[in-house]
Amino acid sequence: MTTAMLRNTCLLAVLLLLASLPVGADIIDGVKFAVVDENRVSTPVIPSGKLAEAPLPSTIEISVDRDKFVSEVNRYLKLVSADNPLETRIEKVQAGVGFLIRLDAAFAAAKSAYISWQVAEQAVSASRNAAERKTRTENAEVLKQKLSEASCAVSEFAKDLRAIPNLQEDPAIGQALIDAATLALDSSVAARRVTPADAATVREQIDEGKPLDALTLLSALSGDYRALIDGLGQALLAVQQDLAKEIVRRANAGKCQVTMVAVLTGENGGSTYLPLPNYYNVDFGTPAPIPRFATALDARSLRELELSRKGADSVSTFLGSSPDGKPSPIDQIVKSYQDIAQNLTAVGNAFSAVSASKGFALLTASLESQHPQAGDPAGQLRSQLRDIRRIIDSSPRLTDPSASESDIRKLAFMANALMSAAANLREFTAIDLSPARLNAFATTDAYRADPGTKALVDATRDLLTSLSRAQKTATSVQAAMRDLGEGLGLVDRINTSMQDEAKSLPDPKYLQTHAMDELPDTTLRVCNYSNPRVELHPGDQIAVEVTVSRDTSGDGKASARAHGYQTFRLERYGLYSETRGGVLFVNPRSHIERDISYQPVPAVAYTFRYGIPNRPNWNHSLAPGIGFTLAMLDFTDDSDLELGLAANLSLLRDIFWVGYGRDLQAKANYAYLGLNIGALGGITR
Amino acid sequence: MYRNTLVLPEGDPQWSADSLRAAIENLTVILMLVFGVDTRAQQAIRWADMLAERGRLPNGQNMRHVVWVRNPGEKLLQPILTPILSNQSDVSVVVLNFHDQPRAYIKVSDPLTPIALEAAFLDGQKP
Repeated sequence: MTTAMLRNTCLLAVLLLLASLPVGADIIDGVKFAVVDENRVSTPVIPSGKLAEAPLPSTIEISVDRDKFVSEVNRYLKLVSADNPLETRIEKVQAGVGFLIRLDAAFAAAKSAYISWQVAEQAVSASRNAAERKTRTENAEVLKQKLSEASCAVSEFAKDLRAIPNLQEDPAIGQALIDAATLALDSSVAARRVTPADAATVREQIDEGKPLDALTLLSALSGDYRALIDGLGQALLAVQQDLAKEIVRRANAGKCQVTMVAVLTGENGGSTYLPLPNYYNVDFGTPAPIPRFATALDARSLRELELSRKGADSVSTFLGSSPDGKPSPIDQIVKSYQDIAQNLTAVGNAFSAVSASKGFALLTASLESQHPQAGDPAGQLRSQLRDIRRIIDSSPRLTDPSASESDIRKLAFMANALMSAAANLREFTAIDLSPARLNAFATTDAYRADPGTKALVDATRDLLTSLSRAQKTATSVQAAMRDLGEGLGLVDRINTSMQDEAKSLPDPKYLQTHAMDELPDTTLRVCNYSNPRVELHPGDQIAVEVTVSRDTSGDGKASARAHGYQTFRLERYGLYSETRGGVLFVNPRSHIERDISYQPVPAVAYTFRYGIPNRPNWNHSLAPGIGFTLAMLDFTDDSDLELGLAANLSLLRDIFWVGYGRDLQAKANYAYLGLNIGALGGITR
Repeated sequence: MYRNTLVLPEGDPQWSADSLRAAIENLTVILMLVFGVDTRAQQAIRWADMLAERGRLPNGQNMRHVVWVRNPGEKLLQPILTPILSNQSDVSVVVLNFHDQPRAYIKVSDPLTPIALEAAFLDGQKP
């Protein structure tokens, strides 16, 4: 095995190990979710950090399990320290309850094994002949061995059982156990396990206020360990409630605030904060029904269609030059880039020349030899020169993209190089090179005292002139770069990403905050909305996010936060249809006049699917669909309108299409491969 | 009234010895022997009899059984008790497993609680 293979194997093993680690609990564990479908069937969802499925349409009922929620919040915000007596009590009682439950199960198993063995022994006695006796004896031996193993497991608990009375040191636990003992006593008398006289004796002991006796008597009285477990369970509940109260008290003192939002993320990206009564009170107008069978193009398919139209145009452009002999757009962009690179090289050369000039060296040496003083013009000039030196040292130059690269790679290369060079140029052009500073410097006593003053001032003026000239060139190059950047769509990309960033935050004016001890229930309606137009589709995800923030600094700004979220993936069950947009690469299968091979055209697909509950791979990964596509083709010059109609099969969440159809006007068949650019972009987000 | 306890009479040593031997030879029970007649022994018997009820099976049988040896110094009982109490002194309670092997001892100096008795019964499950 090579070193690389070994390294990869180790890496894979580590990744698998990390993936297998349990996901830690968080505050979302304190929130209860129930998905109610259109038939009013309610399905509880246990928050687990995994995707839960929500059918379309449905409602998600959200309530808060207060004690659990505050307990989880405490874990994250550490409102109550780990050495709090309440925490210690909970740990002790939890350990006790867990131990007793395990003991109870082991004892029941041992009893069961005992019965099996007894029955087997009786069967041996009742054997009618030697052969039967031999077989039954062997069977009894096996069961005896099993009893021995079960008994061995039970005996392991003997030592820990002796530690149970220590729990009674806590008065609250003691009282809970006494209460449980009294109840167990009544049931024991009723079941005639204990005589009334014995019960009277036990009650007398309980009345004497001997908690230890009460605990031990409880274990003695009950037919199994359940009464003791119940008693400890009640004690646990009481202590947890005490702890919850304590956490809430400290949370309110620390101004803890809880917010909850539901974010819809579409398959093609983009996020929308949905109305969540009592938590996010935005008005989205009347809920709109979600049609099972699409009758018109929805907003998503229109977006995809527009994207496909642009994609098809771009592909057409890159595939060949324009027919009138002009260079293609990509060639024009490369030419502009080369011009800029040439000018930038000139700027770099000017920098180098200045850097090598005698004046620059003189001025720098003179300024560096002086001691800096506050407000000293020489100090400012010195700082300015250092900036210039730094810029010169990293003078921006552009290298040409490799000619062998594809056009798309060339564009990416040039975009990155321009962005990097622009940052340097921006710094350089921002430097103030006006002679005012030099003049201010020249009037200082320190400067006058220098014997070579005149020569130095002249050299410096020359330097500034050269630098200003270089700066002007740089400014013009910068403008050209900006134009080219816009041509490459950089500005749009930046603006779009900034808008997306702004959209990804909830609007504070709709956000309603709550104190920890008054968290109302809420309901999320999983449906379309009319105003603004919000559409939900199978595959979209809704994340319900709960945030607890606390002001620890006292300045009113939250500085400690705990987050938790549960994500629901929307599904549609049964037969339904969707409309989508994509680019088809159409290849004629009949004889036509034009030479066409895989012509890119935008198309609309009308797709039928069948959703099955609890089949996420079928519904979301493979996600097959069949239907038909409509495309505007261009097979012949004789007809202005050419409509292509084809049977379509789509796979992988509608990303890939394949189909066969006919150009109705050109009367030619065609096959195609299709791509949904929007859906493809969605999975890369 | 004890439901799961055999009380050996002090006035009939022979019957006591026979009954004790029979109880020990029964290999289908976990047996707890309680020694003495003092208050501690009486309390132990009361609790042990209740705890033995926990071994009751649905068919009415009980996998736990208690024997109250009121006079452990009786000469006729010595041949039976000596192997059980070998190397042990001041024992007030002993538990034998299904195979008649001692698995738990509670001495006179040990605190006597139902929890301690229950733990001794659990130790009696050891093979």
